[in-house]
Amino acid sequence: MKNATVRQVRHDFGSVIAMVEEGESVAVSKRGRVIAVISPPPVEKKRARKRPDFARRLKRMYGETVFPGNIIVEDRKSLER
Amino acid sequence: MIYADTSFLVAIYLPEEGSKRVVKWMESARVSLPFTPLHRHEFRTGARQRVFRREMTAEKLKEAFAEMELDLDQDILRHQPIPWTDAFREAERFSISRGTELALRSLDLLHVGIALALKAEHFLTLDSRQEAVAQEAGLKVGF
Repeated sequence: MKNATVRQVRHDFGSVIAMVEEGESVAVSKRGRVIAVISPPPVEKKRARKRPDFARRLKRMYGETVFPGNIIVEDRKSLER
Repeated sequence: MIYADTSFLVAIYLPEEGSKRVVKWMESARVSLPFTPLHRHEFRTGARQRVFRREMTAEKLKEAFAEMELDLDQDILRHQPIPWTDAFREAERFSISRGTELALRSLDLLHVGIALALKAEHFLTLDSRQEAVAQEAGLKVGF
């Protein structure tokens, strides 16, 4: 669980809510005492749904284009000496 | 749990080398893949590099980000906070045991450390060096 103060909630609510959006609960303290906890909503039982057609989605977005290499692998290689 | 690194996840949203394999796996899989702030940062930075290189447009970049958010909403990917202390501990533990024998990169170790801290059994990647590290650390690899 992350921690925040009432002051932070007042003046920088964006950073607090960003933590919650990434799945963290945030304990809000006032004068050293936790007075509230902001949490993501409970995980709902997901309705059965069809998974996306991943191949069709790529084709819709990019046609037949294939980028050279893998950008993440290249990025990691660039960090090598 | 199955843990996919960012080289795997990026291939779902951008037409990378390896996208066909990844998409084939995704279409048969029935699990949500954990998605951490590290994935988000690596993915977004990498995708922006494609724009920088003029390989894709800013509009396509926005579209790719939107598709990823949609997959998060639909539980294809699942937000996963990183247990940082455990992840660094696992990464360092492996670094201590093999760091003088293997060509290890800290980011490879960090992904493996996160996977181990999350109790993942299976590690998916398109990065052969990352895969070798994951396998050495005892994770099942390959897809």
